Amino acid sequence: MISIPALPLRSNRFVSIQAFIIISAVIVSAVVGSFDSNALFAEQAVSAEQAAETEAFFENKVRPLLMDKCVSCHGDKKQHAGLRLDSRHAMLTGGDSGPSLVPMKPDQSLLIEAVKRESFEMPPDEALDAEQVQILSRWVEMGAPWPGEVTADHSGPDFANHWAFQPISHPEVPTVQNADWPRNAIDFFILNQLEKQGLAPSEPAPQATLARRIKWDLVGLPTSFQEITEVSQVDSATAISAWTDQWLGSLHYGERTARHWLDVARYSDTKGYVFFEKHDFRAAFTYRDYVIDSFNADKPFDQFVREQLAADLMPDVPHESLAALGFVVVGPRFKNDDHEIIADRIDVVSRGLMGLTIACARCHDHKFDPITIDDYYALYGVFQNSREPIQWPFRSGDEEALKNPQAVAIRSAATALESHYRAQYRKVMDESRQRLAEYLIAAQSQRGDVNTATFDVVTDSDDLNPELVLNWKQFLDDTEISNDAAFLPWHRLTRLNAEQFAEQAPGVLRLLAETDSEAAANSVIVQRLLADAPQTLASVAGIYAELFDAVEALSGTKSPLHMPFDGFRVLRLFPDRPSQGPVNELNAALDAERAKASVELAQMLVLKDADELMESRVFRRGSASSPMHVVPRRFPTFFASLSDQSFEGSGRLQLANAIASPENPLTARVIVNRIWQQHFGRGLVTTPSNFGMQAPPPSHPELLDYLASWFIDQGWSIKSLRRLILDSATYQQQSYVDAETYRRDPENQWCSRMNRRRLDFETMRDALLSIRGDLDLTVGGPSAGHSLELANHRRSIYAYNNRLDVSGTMRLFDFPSPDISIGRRDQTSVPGQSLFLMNHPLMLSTADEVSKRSAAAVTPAESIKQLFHDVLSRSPTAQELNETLAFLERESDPPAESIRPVLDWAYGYGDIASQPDTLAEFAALPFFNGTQFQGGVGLPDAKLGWVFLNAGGGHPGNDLRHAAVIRWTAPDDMIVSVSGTLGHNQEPGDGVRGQIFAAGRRIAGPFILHQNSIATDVESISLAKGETIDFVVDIHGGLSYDSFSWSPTIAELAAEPPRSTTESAANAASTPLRSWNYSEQFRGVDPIKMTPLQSLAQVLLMSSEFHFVD
Amino acid sequence: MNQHQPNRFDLPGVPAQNLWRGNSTCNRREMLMRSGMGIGMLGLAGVAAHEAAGSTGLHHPAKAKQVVHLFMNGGPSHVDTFDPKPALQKYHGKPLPNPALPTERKTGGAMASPFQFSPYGESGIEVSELFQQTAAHVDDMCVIRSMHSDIPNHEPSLLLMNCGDNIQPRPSFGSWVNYGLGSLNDNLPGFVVLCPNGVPVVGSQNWHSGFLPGAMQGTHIDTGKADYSQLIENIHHPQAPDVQRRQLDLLQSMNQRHLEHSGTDPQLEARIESYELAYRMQFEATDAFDLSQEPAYIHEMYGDSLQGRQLMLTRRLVERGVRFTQVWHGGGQAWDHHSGIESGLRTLCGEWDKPLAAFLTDLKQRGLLDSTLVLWGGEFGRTPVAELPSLDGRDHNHWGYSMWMAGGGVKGGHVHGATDEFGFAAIEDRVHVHDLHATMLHLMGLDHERLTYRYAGRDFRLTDVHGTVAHSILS
Repeated sequence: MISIPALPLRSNRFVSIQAFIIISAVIVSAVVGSFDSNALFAEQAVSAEQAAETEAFFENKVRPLLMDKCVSCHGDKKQHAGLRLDSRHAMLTGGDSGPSLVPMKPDQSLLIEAVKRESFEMPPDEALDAEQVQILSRWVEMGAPWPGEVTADHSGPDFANHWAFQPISHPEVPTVQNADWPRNAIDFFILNQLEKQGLAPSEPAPQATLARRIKWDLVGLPTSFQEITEVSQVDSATAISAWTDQWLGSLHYGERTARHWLDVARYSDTKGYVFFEKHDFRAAFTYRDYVIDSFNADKPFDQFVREQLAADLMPDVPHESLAALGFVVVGPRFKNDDHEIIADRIDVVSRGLMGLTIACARCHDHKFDPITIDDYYALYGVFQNSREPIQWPFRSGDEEALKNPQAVAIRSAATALESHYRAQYRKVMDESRQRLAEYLIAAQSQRGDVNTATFDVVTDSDDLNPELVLNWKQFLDDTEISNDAAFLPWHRLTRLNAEQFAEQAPGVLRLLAETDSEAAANSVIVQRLLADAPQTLASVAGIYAELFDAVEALSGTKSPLHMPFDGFRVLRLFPDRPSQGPVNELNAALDAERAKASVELAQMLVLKDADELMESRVFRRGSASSPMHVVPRRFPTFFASLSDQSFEGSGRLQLANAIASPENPLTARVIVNRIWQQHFGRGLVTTPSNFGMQAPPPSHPELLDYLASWFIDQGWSIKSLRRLILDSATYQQQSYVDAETYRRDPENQWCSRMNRRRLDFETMRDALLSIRGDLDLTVGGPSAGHSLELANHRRSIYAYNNRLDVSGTMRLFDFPSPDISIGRRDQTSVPGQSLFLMNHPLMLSTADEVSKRSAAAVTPAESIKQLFHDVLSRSPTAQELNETLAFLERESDPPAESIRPVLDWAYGYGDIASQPDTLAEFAALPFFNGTQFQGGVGLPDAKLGWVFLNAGGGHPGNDLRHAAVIRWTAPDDMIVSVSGTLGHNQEPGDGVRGQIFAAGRRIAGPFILHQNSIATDVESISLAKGETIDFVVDIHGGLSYDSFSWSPTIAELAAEPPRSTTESAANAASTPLRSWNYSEQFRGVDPIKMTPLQSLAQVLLMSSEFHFVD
Repeated sequence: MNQHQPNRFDLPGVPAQNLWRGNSTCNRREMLMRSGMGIGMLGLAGVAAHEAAGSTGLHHPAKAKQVVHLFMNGGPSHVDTFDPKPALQKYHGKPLPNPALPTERKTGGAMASPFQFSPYGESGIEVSELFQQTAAHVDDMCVIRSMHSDIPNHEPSLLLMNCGDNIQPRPSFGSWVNYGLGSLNDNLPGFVVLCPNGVPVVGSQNWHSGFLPGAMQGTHIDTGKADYSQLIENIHHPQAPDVQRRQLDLLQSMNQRHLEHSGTDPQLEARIESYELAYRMQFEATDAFDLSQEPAYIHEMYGDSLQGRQLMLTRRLVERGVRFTQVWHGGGQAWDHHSGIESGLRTLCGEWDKPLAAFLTDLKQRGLLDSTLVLWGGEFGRTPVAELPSLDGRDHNHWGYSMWMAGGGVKGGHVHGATDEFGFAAIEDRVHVHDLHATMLHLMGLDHERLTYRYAGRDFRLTDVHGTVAHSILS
């Protein structure tokens, strides 16, 4: 679990790891009392695995058990017998009966006695089972370790010495033996390590390889034969450098770099599962375009970070840069659950920008990193107070946009929705004031009851609002713990039982009225209650409601009566079904208006600070139904040197400044590592979104620091960084690796070669379209189309990305789930990918197009050469030429088995309604699905309805103009007989009707049948060549359960009656009479016929050389 | 490249029955050994070395090799099917003596089950008339009457049942199982999801792979479509097989030469192998979905119905070694009987009873039931009290409900746990969804606490920090 670096490059890191292990030892053998450092070092060190096991045991077994069974009565809300069981410290301190545990001595621990029901009987309602008792005993035996408490104590492990938390250094460029190899500073760091490892760098890659690699890295597009030829003609060093500059300056550079960033930003065009809203953002693309534009403009990365968190709060940011806030907003919606939405935002900001896994501290202090649960909820407060307005700003500026009527329509639809929300909010809040007494009683009666905070309840429109009832419950809990003066009488009176209430209440109140009583009660309330002498708790509630203005606890800002608008989740504001209808309609109306907007009226997904700031509380175990203490909004305390003040407003601006500070030890390192990974396929740190204590250390820590500080010095310029990397000898190595080097460094962590990389889904598709010749290179704009639709010609980054429905094919090619921030894609090779390459229409059509171009060549060899140029951007070798020529020759042979016999049977539908006894307008069924012919992909087809035909029969269409028709065409003039049985076997409905037509005229039937079968034989029919026999079935009355079976056989009859038996036999032997059976000869569409060149083109498009970049 | 060796897959239409039991896995294993990769690494080249800190291989001997999860989405009523509650008769129309637990909507008094319960089998377990044919197998079934979960809303409960978390998009159960155990048949997906006519609430999240590799996600097949042979993406090969084979021969020759010029690269080897697997998959997968190969008596046994076809197909997939098959009732949430529950249940149970009985019979007669863990149930149960205002339906109930398992090492003819006397809340031997997952993984030979995946800085599990194996239901 805890990795120990093999190469302690700085001695202090070694010390820090030691210290961490020793702390772990303390966790295991926990000495009672203070954590005296000498005592720590006296402890025998235990292995990291043991420490991890202890943690796991505590987190998985002990803590849940305590939380489940004990803490509801012995926690921060209630402390029965003065005892808390929610921390080790509290347990050691104990309650009225003394300490509840003696570490390592279960038999002396009150806790164990109580759960064994030997002294106390705890929990009171239901005894723990044997296994649970065993868990607690074992825990006490282990010394009652409580890992979180130790981790929370920053004086513990020396986090400050963790490599990623130290200030970024400016390392000197190291010396190397082979001074000829390095091209720039990067190479000295790399070679220095290679020499230490006894490895040598690889040869430089050939110019052509390098050209393809650089263009793919920078713009994600294939390099043409022409381009490669041109680059290769110039002196290599200057040509490659010019080539790099050319693509760094291309507008497509922003697209390629943006796609990497969109993985981090979990970009999607939809919200995921939502309840009321439409799932389409409609405007997510403005964020995507912002990202593309920012990279193209080489916006300083620190500025890019700040804008994405706080563009609305920064001075001098152009209006259209508000779209940057999409970084926070484009995440999933978890059915509008605020807690989850905020968790997602904390995660994308902390892992995405700083490589810190802060989301791990949602339920407890981080197990490994210096992040406390308080730090998490300090950031929770930031995002809780950053709201998405219903009115999104127009990218072109509201004033300009609103000249357009469509913008006005959007604006007013949003206004209508917002007013509806506000009106409902006012209604609920007004009512909560008017019905205060009811809320008090309802909340009181639900205290200690099952908690409904976590689920949505459906109410009637005149019910109390469930969210407010929860708030009142929380409020009553708070006032009880704090001994609030106004509610002291309330809490005292609630302890009386109903029967004796009237009798005992005055005594309780008189006691409270005495000035020297143990707690001071609000005298106004006590006097009023004494005066009114309430007979029931309900009348007490009534008095509280009347005294509203006089009671500060009720009128103050902490009262549930002051619940801000932003505090409501939409389902909590509209919990009853009748009120949900209009919300749905207004949302749909707004979405419809937004959908109609042209790109000029694009809106931006933004945030703004809440009108009324809400304070955030720590949720115990991450559960919103267990709020604990309030925490101020601030930066994680471990990083106090970056920001040690409580935030103002939501705090996004201070947060952004702390993250984007050059003093931040993480931000620059993290982005530099991401960029390195984009060019090498492997980061210097292999966990790009986690630089915490658990992350493996960088392979080249000094290089990482060198690049990070250099990057900051260059004004956070990503293009400069890329230029430096691409210019290095390290990057320009070839990717060939011999077995011995591979054995010594299979992952290539020392960079003795370039890593071979597979085209990701997007660049593969873009390459196919580019080769096909119809890639649309327009930059920016709304997302449109599916990336696998043939008609979609835009670059893959613009394909509509629906997080509710990421296509299986894209997932197979490791396109990441847009639900979570992804720092690194998988790179797999699975059969599903091969199926796509072998069979998908995109592959076949690309092969078709590219082969057509080469087909014009004079000779097969020229065609092959052209194909290689187009697909692989090189000429074939002699061996390849021979091999592929042989292939073409082989494929040109007409394959004997695929010559189709005379077309005898056809599958169609026809009209028998227009003219009696005649079949009009036969047409073939257009779609074959592998089993049957039908109207289209789905059944029923929109135009043709239910009609289909398969090998055994079929189903007629919905009316008499769409009867099912099996057609046989006579290959010669001949006389035939027909035999067969028409069947129908479904009980419901009214059966079907069959008829046989010859040359368009009815010759047999109608056969009307329902759950039976009828022989449909015709003895002799004389036909001319090309005339037809049609077997026609219609629905016979109603359309229901009309499947039929029919497999007619047509037998050729001798032209003239035989003169004698002998002659007849001889005749038959010389010219055998033919017969045709429908079922036996049923066949679907032919396999497609590829030309040999198309077939070869597809082979090249499937080749490893095409799919991997050297 | 060695020239392509003719094999049985060259001729489409050769019945592929039992092929998966053949030595193709061995060949694959050898291939992987040769190329220096472990089994299971093929699909994961490049993954395992980075974030996958997980396990492959068994933690202990497995009782079950495969899972079939029959998902009655919407929440089937337990008090009308597998959990008889005579006390409801007494209180019918009256409030329960204990206050009703909070659920999604408002409820009124008790509602007796309109259906007759009778004892079945040697075990005499009582089952409602709605499942009388299925109940003939009750001695092979372990009925868990003490299921409970967290929230009475569909979306979170579906996610919990499928992915072990109410809200977060975590990897699904089937993905975890495939991640942990790998595939039994390289020519078919390891996790197949059958769902006719649309998708359930929260859609493909129910079977997605989250942060696990994309290849682990469920392959969704809309069994409402007429043609079962074309249901896997890109499985339909528009070219004649011999033409495609010759293409692949040329391709592999080029790829092999490319590999030789590239030095050592397991990725390239994997790519070469994946074409061969894909080529074979075209025939085996098509074959697996071809129900016309089933004899008439099997068709008869399952019945000519959607659910009958789904289960017949499921049996064919089990036979071919699909590790995890999930069968949904259908799109939407059919079993959500807020009103009209009597006729609603008659219809839906009527659709399932005969096919279910046939499915269990069929698995048993082929000797597959012992190694296949069949799970039946929904995302929660329903209230013993009637829902207002119609009073002829039941609300969602996560406090207590029933599921049953059969085969795969569970105790047959066994009832585990109980709800209170009205069937509202599980009170005895309670089984949370996490416990169910832990128990099922245990039967598969996996320790739910050790089946982990390192992601975003921590080791994730299907059961998160929860889950206890219910040992008493293991045979």
